[in-house]
Amino acid sequence: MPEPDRLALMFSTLCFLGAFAAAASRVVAAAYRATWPHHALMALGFLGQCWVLLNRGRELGRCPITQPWELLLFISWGVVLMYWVVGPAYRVSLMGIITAPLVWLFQVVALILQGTMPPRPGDGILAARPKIDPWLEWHATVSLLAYAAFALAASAGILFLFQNRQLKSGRPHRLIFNLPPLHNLGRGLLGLLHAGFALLSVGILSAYLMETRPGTLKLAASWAVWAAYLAILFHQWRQGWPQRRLAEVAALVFLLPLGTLWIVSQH
Amino acid sequence: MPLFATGLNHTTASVSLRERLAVRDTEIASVMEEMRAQPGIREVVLVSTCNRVEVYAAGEQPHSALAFLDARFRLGDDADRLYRHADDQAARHLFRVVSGLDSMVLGETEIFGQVKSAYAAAQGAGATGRTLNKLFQHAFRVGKHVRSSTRIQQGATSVGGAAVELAERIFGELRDSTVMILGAGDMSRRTAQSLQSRGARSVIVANRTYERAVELAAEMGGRAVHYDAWPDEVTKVDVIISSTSAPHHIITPGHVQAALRRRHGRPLFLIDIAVPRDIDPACGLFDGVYLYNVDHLEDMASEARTRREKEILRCERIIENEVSAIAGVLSVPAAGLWVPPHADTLIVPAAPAPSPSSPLHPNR
Repeated sequence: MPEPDRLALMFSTLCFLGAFAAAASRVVAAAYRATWPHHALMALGFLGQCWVLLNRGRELGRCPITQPWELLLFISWGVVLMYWVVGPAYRVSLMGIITAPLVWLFQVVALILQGTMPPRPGDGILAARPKIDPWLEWHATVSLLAYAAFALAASAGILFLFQNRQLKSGRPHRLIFNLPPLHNLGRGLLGLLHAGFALLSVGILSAYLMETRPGTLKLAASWAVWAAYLAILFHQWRQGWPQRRLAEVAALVFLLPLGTLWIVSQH
Repeated sequence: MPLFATGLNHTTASVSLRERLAVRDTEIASVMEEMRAQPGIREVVLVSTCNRVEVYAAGEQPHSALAFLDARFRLGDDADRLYRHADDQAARHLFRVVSGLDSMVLGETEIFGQVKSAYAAAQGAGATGRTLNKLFQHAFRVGKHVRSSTRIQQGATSVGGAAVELAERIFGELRDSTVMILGAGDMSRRTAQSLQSRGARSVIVANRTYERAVELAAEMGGRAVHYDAWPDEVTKVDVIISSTSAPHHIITPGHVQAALRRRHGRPLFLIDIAVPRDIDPACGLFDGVYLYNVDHLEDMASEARTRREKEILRCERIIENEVSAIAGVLSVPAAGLWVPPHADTLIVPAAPAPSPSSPLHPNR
């Protein structure tokens, strides 16, 4: 990977770390309102992500999801995209708190992975592919946005479990009074699971419209993830888990899509 | 122009004396007009709440407000109970009042609105001018600044407030929440009222004496149910406040388990104010059930009070800076007197202003 891309990724990661620190300091100060430094850092981080992905896409001549670090970056980009598009109220109440640390963590891993991987042949050279398969691009984008939604759901689940434990103790730490309310977190989590599942369904179906069908292993991995989330939503619809159980499941099951990233990028 | 503030509050005067000085809303304009007719008083703002009656005056001889109050309310010896603050002390006092530092519940926010209303009334009556306009507008900025940059208003300081905080933590907005009161005691009534004040839409009351339940339900705009029918209501409510005098547990895990099956994952907040306890502690073990007893709530309120007290110093520092700023703007003479917070004395003592080494000094 050429040096400017890595520098841009580092810059973006630092911005998200700064945004995380800004949000955390406000939460600790018991006055959580997303402030302009927080928004500015999120915007700069997002621009950094766009720059790297755009540059990488131009080099590869396709959607830049050929290596695990690119996938992590793309998912991080999807998470931040949701942060911007869902709306200011949600941004302040839930995603503002979760997004920055989650994205920062993903990008730190992406930086480590990127640093340890040898450059692929053709890296740094503008690709000249004669034709782009739009279904491939669509499939990749939508599927990774689904993964982004699952990542946010997992983060919301962890936040829920932390708060739930505190509230159950009878002596909750003051910190939780600056976090999103428990019931809202539970509902937001379920919404994210629904959104992620819908996006993943569209992504998988569009894979069958691609000129070159993805490998069997990749398809099997995608279907496995899809089936896992279908099972969660079906159970939730039929019997209704308590919110704590749903939060646990959302956090744990996310390990599955996370674990399949390598397969998705290699096949 | 010289400034003067005088009055009394919950720490300096009994409720009977405060009642004597209290001015009804309808009379405030005329009292301010009478005061402005006094020689040496040009501008006046009168603040009259249940915990304080205060006059802020500006003019050549604003301290004549003191004589006016004495004569108007026939205070006699009680006139000694009025505190007196001149110039920058008056500004400091007002800043402390709007910041909630002079309130019965430290850091409470209601006083801010009450002073704002008093100022608006004075403005409407044409009783304010350049000096008091600047002073009060600056005071409102100080009040906001103190509250936003310190934790002086953080946490609920009463059992009812703590219950509201927890309910909001669990449900978010309380608009769609229904509250059930088991046992029509005063504490449960106040707690339910706190929840209602934050939006809880309906209240169900169950009491062994049905007539008392009807009475309380009417008072709270809710509905009463017969005592033996309360278990049927559990599926419909979000918060249960229990304070019966029963010697045994009223709400058992069986009740909760049965209700949870029909609640579709919606949380249930149980508040047990009774001693001996009404709610079996095992009820709190179910997912989605949050059980708090009176000790939990008292602890939360007590911690909040302690936290607020620890913030006083930070608030005073901000106020000192602002007093210096407004003194320059208004060109009021610096009286050079510093009123220690929560002073026991009623008349301002001639204590020195904060020294440069003091933690309260504006430059620190």
